[in-house]
Amino acid sequence: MAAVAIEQLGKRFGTTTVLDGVDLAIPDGAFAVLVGPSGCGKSTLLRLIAGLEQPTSGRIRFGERDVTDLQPRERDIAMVFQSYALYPHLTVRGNLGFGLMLKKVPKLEIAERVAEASRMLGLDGLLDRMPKELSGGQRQRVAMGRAIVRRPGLFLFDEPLSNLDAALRGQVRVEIRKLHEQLGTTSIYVTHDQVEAMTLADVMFVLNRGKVEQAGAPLAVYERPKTRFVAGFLGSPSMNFLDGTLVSERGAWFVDVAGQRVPIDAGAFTKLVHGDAVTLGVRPHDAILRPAESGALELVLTFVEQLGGETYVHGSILGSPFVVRVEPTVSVQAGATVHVTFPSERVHLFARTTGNSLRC
Amino acid sequence: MLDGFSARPGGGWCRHCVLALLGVLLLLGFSTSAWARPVRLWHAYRGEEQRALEEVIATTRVGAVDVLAIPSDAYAAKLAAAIPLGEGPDLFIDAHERLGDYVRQDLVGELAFDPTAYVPAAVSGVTIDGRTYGLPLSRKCVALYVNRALVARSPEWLEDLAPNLRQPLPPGHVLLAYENISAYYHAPWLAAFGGRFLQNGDSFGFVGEAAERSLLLAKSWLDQGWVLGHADGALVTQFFRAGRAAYAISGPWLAGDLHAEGVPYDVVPLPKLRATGLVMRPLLTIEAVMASPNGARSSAALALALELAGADAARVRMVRAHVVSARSDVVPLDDPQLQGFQAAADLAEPMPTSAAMRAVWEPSEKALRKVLNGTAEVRPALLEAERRFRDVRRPGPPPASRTGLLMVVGMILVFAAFSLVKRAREPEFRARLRASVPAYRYLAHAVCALGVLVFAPLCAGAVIAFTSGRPGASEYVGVANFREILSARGGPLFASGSFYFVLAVTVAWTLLNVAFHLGIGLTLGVLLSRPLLRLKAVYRVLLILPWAVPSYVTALAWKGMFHRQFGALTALFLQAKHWGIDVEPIDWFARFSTAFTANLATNVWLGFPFMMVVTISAVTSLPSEVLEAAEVDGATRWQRFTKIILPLLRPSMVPAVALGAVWTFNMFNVVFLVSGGEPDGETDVLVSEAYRWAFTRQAQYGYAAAYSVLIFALLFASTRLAARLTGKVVA
Ligand SMILES: Nc1ncnc2c1ncn2[C@@H]1O[C@H](COP(=O)(O)OP(=O)(O)OP(=O)(O)O)[C@@H](O)[C@H]1O
Ligand SMILES: [Mg+2]
Repeated sequence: MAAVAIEQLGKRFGTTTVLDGVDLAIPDGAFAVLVGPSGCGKSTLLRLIAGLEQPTSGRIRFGERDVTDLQPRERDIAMVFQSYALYPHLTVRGNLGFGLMLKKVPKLEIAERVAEASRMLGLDGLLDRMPKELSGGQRQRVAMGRAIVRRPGLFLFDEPLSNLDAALRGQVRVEIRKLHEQLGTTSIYVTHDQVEAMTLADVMFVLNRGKVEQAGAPLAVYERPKTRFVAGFLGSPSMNFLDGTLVSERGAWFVDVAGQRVPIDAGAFTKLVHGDAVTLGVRPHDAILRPAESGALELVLTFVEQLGGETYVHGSILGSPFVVRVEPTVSVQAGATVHVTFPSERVHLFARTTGNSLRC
Repeated sequence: MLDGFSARPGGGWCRHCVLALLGVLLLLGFSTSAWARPVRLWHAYRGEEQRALEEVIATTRVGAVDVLAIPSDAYAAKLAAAIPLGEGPDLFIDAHERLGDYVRQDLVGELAFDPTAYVPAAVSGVTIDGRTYGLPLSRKCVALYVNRALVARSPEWLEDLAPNLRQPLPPGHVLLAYENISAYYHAPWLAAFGGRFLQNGDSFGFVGEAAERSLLLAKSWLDQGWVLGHADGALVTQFFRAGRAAYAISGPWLAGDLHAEGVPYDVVPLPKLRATGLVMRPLLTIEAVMASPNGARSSAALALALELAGADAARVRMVRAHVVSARSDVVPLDDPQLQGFQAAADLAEPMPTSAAMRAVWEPSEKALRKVLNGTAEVRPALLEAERRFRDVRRPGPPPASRTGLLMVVGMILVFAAFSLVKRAREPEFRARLRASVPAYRYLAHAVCALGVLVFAPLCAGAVIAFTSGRPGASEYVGVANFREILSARGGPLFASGSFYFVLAVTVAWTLLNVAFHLGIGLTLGVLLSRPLLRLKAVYRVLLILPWAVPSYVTALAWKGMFHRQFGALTALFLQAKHWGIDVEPIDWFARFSTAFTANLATNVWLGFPFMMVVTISAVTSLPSEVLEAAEVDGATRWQRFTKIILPLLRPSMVPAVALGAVWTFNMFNVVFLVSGGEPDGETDVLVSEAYRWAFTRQAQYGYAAAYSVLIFALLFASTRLAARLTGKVVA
């Protein structure tokens, strides 16, 4: 088991730069999640860590060991693939024991370790089946089992849940977390699902266009997104953004959104300059619907999404789309005009030119 | 009326029927109006001879003549197919030695003529049992070509060939070039000792003292390096044309290849042998115009035949094509070469027309080759040849009673009818049948085509296997052919040429080939599917090339490479000697092991690209993540190959291997063209053996067909067995 340290890792395919100076530091035993939109280079990063691709620049270290130039089999890792990549010609037992067999582990010990892993994952009745005779969820478990049996120093997961249905996904997510607690092995988990990222991660890395936009504990990242991209990417439905201009009047700061003034808590921000173009961000559950009030923004409702436990009302404020979460008891109708306010301490501010957060 | 039909929608069927009917009527009309049509003449001439024939035809007084040139290798088969149907020619030009067969198959009619105008040998050539079956046109035989640049005087005696040289031959030259492993060219040597291949009464002549002495002489000439070894026609031409042979024994065809070349040469009759005082008489072929039974009754055809065989036409042929006439009243031109050939022809002995002659060549040639290779003593080799001749000439099995056949067929029919009725009784069967009628409609074309193109010939072949299957006389003989084959014709069960020996060779041949194909194909296929390989497409194209070249071209090229004296391999060995590596040139086709290796090498070259292509496509479709998973799981490159790639390729490779095995089992081209069964027929596989029974040994089609049925049964059984075994393993 080891910490993983990645320095200035770059990867180009021909002329396309996929990764551009990525730095990661994952403490020993941590569950790290790489999250980002499709095509941002998550899988590529994971494959570099696994040794399935060679980096164009930068180093990868597992603990004290520099593994950058090592073959995958010399890195002491196990990987769970998105497609599971089970060996189609081997039974579940054969799949689980394959890595150990290659290492010439004695038969008896293989049997023991396979039995142990299959108990952990509930694969007991399936050991003599072929992969094609399994359901998607069962295959996923076998893929996990194959990784566990080898007791590697590092687990790599590439979107292991994306082929499962929503209910199963939730269930397996919990199991993965439990397994991690049990085994304590350093893990790197790639996903583009931010719920998975939030629930699983000890440490989360948000990737965008081949760069790490923000790293940290998931809640911290969620609460204090450093860029507009991170703010918009985490949270569902995602954060609402309104463009405006900073206005300072008699010591108080506002954001002028097309004539309406939204007060902000100046103490929470730095580098506020009168007249600067900014983007104001509010999460749907931080906005409050009001019947009618001065200083509130007018929201024209387009439709209402009732999910049972909560309701989202969709509309637009001065042409920008806007979503507000309300209690299911509140009754509103599409086409109506309502007013929205938000507590000033829940407001995020980003410089419009750079997208960086103005929070201090 | 036709318009009326076609205007109706859906009238297509009716129109086709009407057209077909009209076609049939037209055909009938044509064949009944035979009296009005031109005389039909077939020939297989090319070049000058064809032009000479056309010139004669152009000035004929007979009237309309319809001339058709047929490729010579298909000639006899075409005649045999067309004449019995009345579709063949009235007249055709062919070599006299085929007359025996033609008479037996009723393909020729008697042509009476005045024999005094022709050379007696020519007349005797076209005479069978006192009747004449053709008008002699020309005579062809081999003569001695003398390279005047190297030879001072044309020799009269064989022993003078060397003394008559202007000076000793420089290295790289030979004294005499002739096709020494061909029985046809050995005939003059035999004649010099008073022997012949076929004695009167159709008994085998290539045995006894004359034969032995002729072989010893030929071998001593070869052993002393006077004669070009293992020469075929191309090599003889090449040597003589390049001025590297002082003498050559060849026919007029060599002169055709020499024309514009610079080698000055004379053509003289073959010399005499001092030891016996006898002339080396070559075999004489008489080209004659023959008439089909229909043609023999047509006065126009007869008139044309007489004209073609007349003195004027002979002169045209002589001037145009330098052909020696068969007439006694045509004075040869003042052309030394033509006179040389004429003198040679005057000494030559007409090739026997008896069908037995066809059974002579193969055993004689085998004995000749074995002796020249030094792999057999003279006397045993000749005795074996005689035994083989007798074996081939053995009368066919007696006609069998048909009751057995009728009972078996009857039982099968009853059984089939019974099960059909039983099936038809089931109500759901009828429902299913009705439901699948549209499917049958779609399949009908394909089934008909397959039936006509595959199934019918197969059944016809199977039927022939139960007959004696000899041209002219074919009776039902029951399972006699199979019994003969399976009992090795009464000889030792595992001797060269017996069914079991050939089967063992065939099985070894198949297993080794498929192993090599698979090994090389898989390795290259896997290597070539590596994504990072540069110039992948180039390698692929290069490696698929052996497959793209027609296999007989490759086979001939490889045969050339294995030539004992002039093959690329020998050149390589000689080169190796220069570098100090001591390897002797190998006589590849003299021993079983090396001949088999030569065949194997050729067929491996031909066969691996198929496996490679199959492998490449199979590897490309392998899921790459599975391979990566194995890599992460700790598999080395080799372990990935053996533990993942191979098992995953298996489902795609099994059918390819089955297909490859069947192809190899029946690989006729390579065996026939590279080793040709040498030595002594030991490298023949079942198909080439079947071919020999059908086409070189007295046309024993029944016997050959029985071979084919056995081959089919073996392949069918083994593929079923293999399918079951692999199916079990996969499951
Ligand atoms: N072998 C390759 N050659 C060229 N470009 C590649 C290659 N592999 C990946 N890319 C490019 O690199 C970028 C990142 O790919 P990657 O697979 O890492 O994305 P990802 O973040 O895993 O996306 P997803 O969430 O959809 O799986 C993509 O734009 C992709 O087109
Ligand atoms: Mg991916």
